[in-house]
This record gives sequence, structure tokens and C-alpha cells, in this order.
Amino acid sequence: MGLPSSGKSTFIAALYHKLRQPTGPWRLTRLPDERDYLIDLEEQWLSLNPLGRSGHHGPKNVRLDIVANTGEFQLNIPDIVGEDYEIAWESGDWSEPVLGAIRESQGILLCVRSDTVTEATLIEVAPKEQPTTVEVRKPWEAKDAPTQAILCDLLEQVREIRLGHLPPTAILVNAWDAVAEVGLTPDAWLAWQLPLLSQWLRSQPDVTHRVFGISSQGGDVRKQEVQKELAQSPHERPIPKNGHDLTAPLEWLRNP
Amino acid sequence: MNEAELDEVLEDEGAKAGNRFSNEGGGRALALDGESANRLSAHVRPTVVVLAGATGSGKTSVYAALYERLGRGPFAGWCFAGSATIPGFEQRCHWWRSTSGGSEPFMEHTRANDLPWLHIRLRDLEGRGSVRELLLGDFDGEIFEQFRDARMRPDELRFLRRADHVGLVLDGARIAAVTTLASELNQARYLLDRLLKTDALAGPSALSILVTKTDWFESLGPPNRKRVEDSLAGFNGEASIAAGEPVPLLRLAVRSISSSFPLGHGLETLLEVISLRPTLQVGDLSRIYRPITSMGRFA
Repeated sequence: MGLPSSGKSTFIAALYHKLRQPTGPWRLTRLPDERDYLIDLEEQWLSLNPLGRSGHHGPKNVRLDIVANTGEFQLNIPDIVGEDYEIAWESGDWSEPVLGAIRESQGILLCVRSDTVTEATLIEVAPKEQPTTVEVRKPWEAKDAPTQAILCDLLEQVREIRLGHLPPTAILVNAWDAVAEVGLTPDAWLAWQLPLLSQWLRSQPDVTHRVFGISSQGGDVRKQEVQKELAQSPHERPIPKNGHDLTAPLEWLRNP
Repeated sequence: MNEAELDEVLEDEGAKAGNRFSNEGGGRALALDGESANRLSAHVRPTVVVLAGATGSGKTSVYAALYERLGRGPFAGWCFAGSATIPGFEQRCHWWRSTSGGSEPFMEHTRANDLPWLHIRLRDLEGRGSVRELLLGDFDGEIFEQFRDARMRPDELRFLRRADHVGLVLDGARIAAVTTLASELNQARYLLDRLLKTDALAGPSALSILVTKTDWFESLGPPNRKRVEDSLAGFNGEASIAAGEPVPLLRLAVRSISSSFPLGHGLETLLEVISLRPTLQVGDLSRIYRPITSMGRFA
């Protein structure tokens, strides 16, 4: 789950590439039958280009057969475009394929990009001596809502769709490299930047959650100097301070 | 009032609101209509809070401030545990934010056809973990003005009888001004009379007095400040005598231009009043909502 440009597809791209490597605690046992979408994502990721907003309609099936230290299993991560979640926030409408994915899921990866959080900024007030000129105020539009409100509402809707029960939920703070130097843990960062969401998660007696700092690209690939540095070792991207390996949230979801 | 009539109370408000969607042209419901509020009440026992006051007295701002303050972190021993009406809160808080394009905070007047019920769930921070479900009635002030002036009957505002807490709202800006103090208190007395001497409330212990915009008192000189304080004490006394028990008087300045009054000033006390008595117990058991049991809608 996540709004547009929250890093969902980039995570999948990086994860897929990691799992294709012959070494590592998690590996693919075979290539997926439906792989064209994954290959395309992987190619963009390897090229050190920012992945654009996903343009497909409906969830893309991502089914990966994996072997780990604990045995073999299949991982299904439907790649749902952020616009579907935007529509759900604005209108409460969900497409049938997305509803099906929600109902069947055994875990949630909730993505938020660390450097694109929309905050609720109050108007600065001060006593005024002169009357202000006539101003035109803009009516409320759902798209202007702060990130934390939208994400809380989406989780409320998902819980309602699932008849009152949310599965274990991993919060992925993507582009963690952009905020790692602040020195906070991902949990502390969430409480600081998205306090409404943080409270919501901690207040649900029946929802297990954990927050992860993820850097799928390893750095800001929009910057040439970062691209050059990452190009030295494109298959292995660095994990920033207080961040987590790509497989950490999935490992946790398997045993929350 | 029998149980079937009680079920109709909240639904009636939805019928009056008309279109389920409060924003013209369709879209998502921003708040709850009566039917939705009733469905929620069937699963949990919410504390129903209604602020009764004239248009512009600050009713909506109190609710908006509660949500906006929680958006910055837990406070007053409570944390945000959810809401079925996040869009409704967001729409109300929009007018305080830079995205509105305004240079100073503003609050749009609640319209008669707006869906009236906001929902918020709070969890106690102090380790007890108890949950409070609040249903907040955000009604057009015109309704209360008509009720005050006896142009509406108590049975036309049955949500008041369902409310666990009814806050009679005094507009602090009008209290602070020498030219409007008498008028504000006069109108408040009429509303108080209608609330206590008709069948409007379930019981007098539901009543509190909320004085909004109390930051306006700060700029008053000592004589005027004393006049205001004496007037409020007098009104509070009148209300307590009429109710036959002490009526709490709460002071709020939830969105002040003065830095002396942080966002949500006074809400701690309001939450404390609500927490100390979350539900109103009265002799007539049929007015108490109960959760659905295996035996049906009500046990």
C-alpha cells in the first residue's frame, strides 16, 4: 500500500534483483512465470534511474518462489498503483482486483517516502493592526490532505473491508537515505513526522506493526554524483544508518 | 421514548441532511449521517457530545482543534486511535492551514445540509488502555437559535436527548465586547431555559457551559475583565441553580492568534469532563444504547 511515488515499485525492483543473486539468505528458486514487468523494473533500477510512477492499470502480479534459511515459500506482492489508493481516499472506491488482494493478504507493506511527506501546516497568526485585503480562500480538496491523514484513513478502510481485522503491517519508510543522517530510528522518525499515523498504529490492540527504514536505490539517484558512486557496485546498494535490509520487513511479516 | 424511536433519532438527522454526500457533485461522505452513526453506535457505546450555540460561536472549531492537536501527538493523556470521519475533520481543519490560501485562520459556518456526526476514537495513554469512542455532533447554529427562540420543538432536536454531554456555548468574543456582553448572556439564558425546562436533555447532568475564544479576555483592562468574570460567574450560578446541581464551566481558546494560548487550549479540561463521566446514566434504561448481543439489537 502507498500513495503515488511512495516507492512501492522501486522496492519490488530492488527486492527482485536481490533475490536473483546466487548468494544471500533469501534467493529465488526459479524465475517467475510472469516476469516481463519485473524485468522492466529491474532494468530501470540497475540503470540507476528513478523509477517513474507506475502506469499500469490494476495490480501487477508479483509471485516469487523463494528459499530461505527457514525453508521454501511463495511470496505474492501485488504491485498496486498509487492512484488506486488516491481514489480510495478521495472517493472510498476500490476496484475489485484490489479488494480481492486486500481481503486475501496475510500482511501489509505500507510505504511512505521519507522526503515527500505532506504536512499539515497551520497558518501563522499574529495580531494585525491593519485590516487585510479581501482574499480568496481555496475550498478543501482531498488531494491537499496531509500524508498521515490519508494513510490512517486507508488503514481504516482496509480494516473495514477485512471485516475489522488488519494483518501484521510493516511500515516501509522508503528513501531512508534522505533522512538517515538525522539519527533517528524509523520508529522515532514516524512519531516525529507522521504522529497521527504513529498513534493510530500504537493504539490498535489487534494490529501488529513494525517500522523499517528502507533505501531501495541506496541513495538519491537524481544526483549525478550519487549515481556515479552507486555505479561502482550497482548490485549491492548501501544500507543507511538505522536502516534495514530489503528482506527485513518480509522476514518479519513471516513471523511477526 | 421507546427503543424504536431512539433508533430513529440519529437517522432523522441523516434525513434532514438530505444528500448523503456533503460536498456537492457527489464524492465521499465526509462525516456520518444518522444511519451511519446509528450503525457505529450498535457496535460500541460512544460518548455523544453536542455543542449547542449560535452560528459563529466556535462549535466546529472545538472539534477541529481536537483533531488538529492530536495530529501533532498525544495530549491530555490520550492518543488518537482512529476515526471513521477523517475526511470530515480534514475539511474542517483546512481553513486553518496554509493550503486554504488564507492569511489568517477561518472556519466555515456549518450548513444545515452538512452531515453532522464526526467520530473519533481515543485511547488512554496512562497504561490502562481504555478506549473512548466519541460521536461529536456538529450542527448548524441556526438550529439552536431556532430552538432558543421556541421556533423548534425539543422533539425536533432529539439528538440532544441522546447526548451524554451537551455544551452550551458562549461566544467569548461577544462576552469580551462591552456592546455585546449583555446580548450574549441574554440569548444564553433563553437557550439555557429551553434546554433545562423542556424535554430537550436526558438529564441536567448532561449540561456544561463552554466559553469559547477566551483569549479575547486577555486584552481587557482590569475593570472590564472583572465585569466579564462576574458575568460569567453569575451565569454559571444561574445555570447551576436551574439544573439543581453544579454545571461545569469550561474556558477554551482553541485557535488563538496569541502565543499565550497554544492550539487546543482548554481541550484538556473538556476531555477530562468527558472522561469522568463518559455516558449519562438515567433511570429510563430504554435510552441507553447497548451493543448488539446474540439476542438481537438490544438485550
